[in-house]
Amino acid sequence: MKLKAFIFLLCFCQFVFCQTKNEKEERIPLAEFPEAAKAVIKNLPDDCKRLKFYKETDGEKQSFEVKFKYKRKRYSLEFSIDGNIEDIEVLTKLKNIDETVKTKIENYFASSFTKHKFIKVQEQYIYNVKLDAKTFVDNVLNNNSLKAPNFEIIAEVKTDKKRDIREFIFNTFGEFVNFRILNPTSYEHVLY
Amino acid sequence: MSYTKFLLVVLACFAGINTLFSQSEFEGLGETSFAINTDISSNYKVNFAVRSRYYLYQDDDFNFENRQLDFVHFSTLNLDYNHSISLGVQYRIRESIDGDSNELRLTQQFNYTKKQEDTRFGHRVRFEQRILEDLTILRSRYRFALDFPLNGEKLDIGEAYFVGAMEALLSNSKNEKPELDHRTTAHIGWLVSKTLKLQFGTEYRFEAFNLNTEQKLFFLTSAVLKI
Repeated sequence: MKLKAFIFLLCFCQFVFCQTKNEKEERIPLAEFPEAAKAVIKNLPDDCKRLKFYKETDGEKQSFEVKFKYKRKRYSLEFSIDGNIEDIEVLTKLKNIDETVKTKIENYFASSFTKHKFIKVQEQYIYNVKLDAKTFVDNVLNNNSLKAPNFEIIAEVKTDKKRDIREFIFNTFGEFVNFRILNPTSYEHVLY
Repeated sequence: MSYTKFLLVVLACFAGINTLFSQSEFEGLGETSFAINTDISSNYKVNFAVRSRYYLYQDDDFNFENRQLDFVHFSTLNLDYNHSISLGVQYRIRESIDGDSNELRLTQQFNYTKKQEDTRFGHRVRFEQRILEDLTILRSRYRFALDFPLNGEKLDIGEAYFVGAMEALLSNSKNEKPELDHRTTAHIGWLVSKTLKLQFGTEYRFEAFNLNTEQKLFFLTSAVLKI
């Protein structure tokens, strides 16, 4: 019995020690957002639904993100730590991308990897400093942004032997810009 | 976490309690397991587990009595990020503990998951051959599960998660009637560190509900180590 209690306690000690981590994403109340970001969010159209607020910490870097649905599309609006807009991402599907751009992207995957599978496709609108925040957001939401988007694509790709999940950026014309390898987020909480 | 989800978690945790005191064909059991997972390569991983099961409540009385000890191995081949097939082998020691037959169990499994925002849905199909001393049972089972982190969309170290599952089972053997079982499981887990997860949960089982229903409530505890 004593042993069991000891093991139980030991587990919790570990739990306490592991609180120091450098990568974290958490839901927070809007109140904890930077002031400038709050102002932008306040100006969002009234029929934005399911607003959720997140704070992301990655080492020293912090950013804030609000996710919502507007006119049946899913948006994610990202702010820097001082509340400046960084970008807006809109969830889309590969088949909705302009035909010539789509072909270019598909060709890139076909020629670079032995196998690929698309997981998530987003249009990415980088903030244009010439516009004020409200105009920029309204333009994107109402689909009349002056600047065409980049494409952020998460895909599982297979090179010779290795398989990993990567996030790719393609420019407006479907040209490859860069990629980074994503941590396979701890997806294994269900056994087997 | 939304209110609906919170409610789901709370309800699931107490789902079994109503029926606890009203059934005579009722047993309460506990199951404790320790598992080790290892990635051999990016698409092949293995799992080893030891699991013990013990009675906590039977014949209308609380008592502690060991029932069995399982040694389990699973090999999983990831077909891609959300499809996998596994083969498993398990040996159950029961004869020297409560006198019932020991068992060798072979498992074939297919698993499919789909992620929608923060919730992951899982469909699992299993075929098992349970080889007992004088009987072999063929069992097919299907499980639907969903899990999500309790904070945010991503499970970070130190955060908790919820796993809920429903499973239907059909057992066939030569000399006995087919048997249908149903299990409902709810787990709360903690990703304690990069390598360790702790899970606590309950499972409610309706066993042989087409013949003579037995109801069982399990209290589950497990530690999962990833190396």
